[in-house]
Amino acid sequence: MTPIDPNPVSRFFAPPARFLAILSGWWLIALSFLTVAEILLRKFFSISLQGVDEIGGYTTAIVSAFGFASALMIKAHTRVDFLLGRMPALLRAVLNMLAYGLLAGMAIYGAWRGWSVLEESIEFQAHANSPLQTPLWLPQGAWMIGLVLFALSAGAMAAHAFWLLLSDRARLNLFYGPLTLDEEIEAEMGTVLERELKQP
Amino acid sequence: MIGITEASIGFLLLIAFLFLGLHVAVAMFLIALLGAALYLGPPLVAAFGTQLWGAMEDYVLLSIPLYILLGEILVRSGSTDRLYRSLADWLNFLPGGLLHTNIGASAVFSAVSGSSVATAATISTVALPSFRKRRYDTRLVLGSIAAGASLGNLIPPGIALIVYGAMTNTSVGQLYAAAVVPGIVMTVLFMGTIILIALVRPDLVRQKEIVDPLRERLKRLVDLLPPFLIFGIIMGSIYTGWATVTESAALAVVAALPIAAFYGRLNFRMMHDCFVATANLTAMSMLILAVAFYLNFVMGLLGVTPALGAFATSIGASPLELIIALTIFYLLLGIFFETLPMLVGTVPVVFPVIIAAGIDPVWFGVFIVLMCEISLISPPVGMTLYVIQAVRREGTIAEVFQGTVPFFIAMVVMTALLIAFPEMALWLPRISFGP
Repeated sequence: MTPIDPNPVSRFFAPPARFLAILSGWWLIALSFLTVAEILLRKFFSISLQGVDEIGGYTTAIVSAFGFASALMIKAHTRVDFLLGRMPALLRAVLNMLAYGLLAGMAIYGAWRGWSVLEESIEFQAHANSPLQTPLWLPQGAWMIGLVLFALSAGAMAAHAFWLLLSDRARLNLFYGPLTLDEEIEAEMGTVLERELKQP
Repeated sequence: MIGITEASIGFLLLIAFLFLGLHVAVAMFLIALLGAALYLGPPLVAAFGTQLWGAMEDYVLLSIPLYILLGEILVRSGSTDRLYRSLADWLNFLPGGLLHTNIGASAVFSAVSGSSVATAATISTVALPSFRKRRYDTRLVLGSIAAGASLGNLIPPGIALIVYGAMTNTSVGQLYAAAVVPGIVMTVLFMGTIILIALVRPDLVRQKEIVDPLRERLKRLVDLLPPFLIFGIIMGSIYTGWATVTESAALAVVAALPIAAFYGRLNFRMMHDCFVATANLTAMSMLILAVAFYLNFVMGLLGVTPALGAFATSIGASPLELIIALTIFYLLLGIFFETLPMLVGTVPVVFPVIIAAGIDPVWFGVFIVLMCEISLISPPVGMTLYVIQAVRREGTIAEVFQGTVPFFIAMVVMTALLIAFPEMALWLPRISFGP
C-alpha cells in the first residue's frame, strides 16, 4: 500500500479528486463503446447516432477539468526543476511558494472566468448549434465542478505553502518542491511499477 | 500590434519563468496575461474563460485521454513481458543479441502506449532481470532501453503529434502517416548502432544467445498478437476511412479490454488505477495545452504571427539554414526541457516562421517530435534516464548517460537524414491522402 500522504492539504482533497478521476474513466469507457456502435452502424447500416462527436468534445473538457485537481495532488503539473534543484534551500522555498501562489492565482481566475461562461449560458439559455441542441449549461456545469475543485485545492495549497514559509521551510520544500524521482514514477506509472519493483 | 522586439522579450521572459520553476502552464498564462493587459485591455484578459472552454471542448483532443487510457490498460494487462520474450526469439541472432529486443520491444510497446516514460519503466522492469545473468556491457543495456523508449512519440499514435496537430491545425491523420517511415528508419538506425558496436567492440557484447527450437518460438509468437492487433486497429481504421483519429482510439480502448481479461488482469481495482493515471496524465497535458491556446489567441491579436513571419523573411535565411539553426536551438533547449514544455512553449513562435519560409507543416511536425525525442535522452534532464536508473537501483546515473551517447549520435544522424530526404516523411501522407 502507498504510505499515508504527509501533506494534510492533499490528504484532504485527494478523495474528491480521485472520485472525479474514476468517474471520468468510466465515462471514457462508456463513450468508447458508444463510438464503436456509431462506427459499426455507420459502416454497415448507414445510420449515424448523431452527436457522438459533440458529446466527445464536451468529454475532453470535462475529463481534463476533472483531472486538474487529481494531478495537483501528486504534483503532476509540469515544472522545470533544472535550476531549482541547484539553489539554496531558502531561495528554493521562496520560489516554491511563489509557484504555488501563482498557480492558485491562475486556477482561481480560471474558475471565476469559467463561471461567467456558465452564467451566460444559463442566462441566455444557450443551446449548442448542433443536432443534439445540447443546453450548454449542462456540460459547462460539469466542467465547472472540475475547475472549482482545482481552484479550491490550489488555493489551499498556496495558503499552506505561505504558512510553511513562515514556520517550516523544510516542509515547504518537501511538500511543494518539484517531484522527487519516486513521486514522478508513481505519477506516471501508478501502482504497476510499485508492485513490480517490490518483487524480489 | 507589437513588433519583434516585444515578442522576443516575451519569449525570453517565458523561458526565465520556466527556469524559476513556475508550473509550465502558469508561466505561459503570465505571458499571455501580460500581453493582453498591456496592449489589449480588460475584455481580452477576461476572455480567458471563453478561451479555456473553447480550447478544452474539442473532439480531436479527446484522443489524448483515450490513448493514455489505452496505454494504461495495456501496461497493466501484463502483455509486455510476453511481448519481450517473443521478440527476443526472433532478434537474438543479430550481432548484439538481446540488446535488439530492448529496441524492438520498446518500439512496439511505445507504439501502443504513447508515453516514453511508461515505456522506459515497463521495459526496464521486464528487461533488466534478464540482463543481470548475461554478459553485456551495462551502459549499452541502459542506453538501448532509453533509446527504445524515446521512440514512443515518433511511432504513431503518439501524444506529441496530436498536441502539435491541435496547436497548428495540421491534420493528425497526415502527421501519423508522415511519422511512420521516420519511426521505422529510427528503429533500424538504433539496431544498426548496436550491430556496429557489437562488430567493432566485441568485448562489450560477450554473450552468445541460444536460439530456442522453432516450435517453441512459433508457439510464443501468439504473444506478439495483442500489440500488433491494437496497432493494426488504430492505423487500419484511420486509413481505410472507417474511423477518425479519435474514433480509432475509442475502438482500440474497447479492443484492449478483452486482452486484459484474457491475461486475467481485468478487475475493478486495475481499471480504477488506469482511470486515475489517465486523469492525471490527461490533466497534466491539457492544462498546458489549454493555456497555450489562450497564449496563441493573445499572440494572434497582437500580430505576433505576421511579425515573426516578416522577421523570418527579412533575415533572408534559406529554409535549410533555418532548419539547421532550429536543430541547434532544440538540441540546446533539449538539455533542460522535457517534451511537452519544449513543444508547447516553442511551437507558437516557431511555426509562423517556418510557414513563412515555405517549410511543410507536416514535415515540421515530424521534425519537432524528433527533436523532443532527443531531449528525452539528452542528460542531465531526461526523465526516461532517471526512470531507468530508478528501476535499476544499483550503479550510477552516469552509466545511463554514457550508454545513451551512441544512440544520441544515431538520432542526430536521423535528423540529418530527415532534413536531407524530406520525402521520408512526406511520401506516405501523399499517397494516402493525395497531394
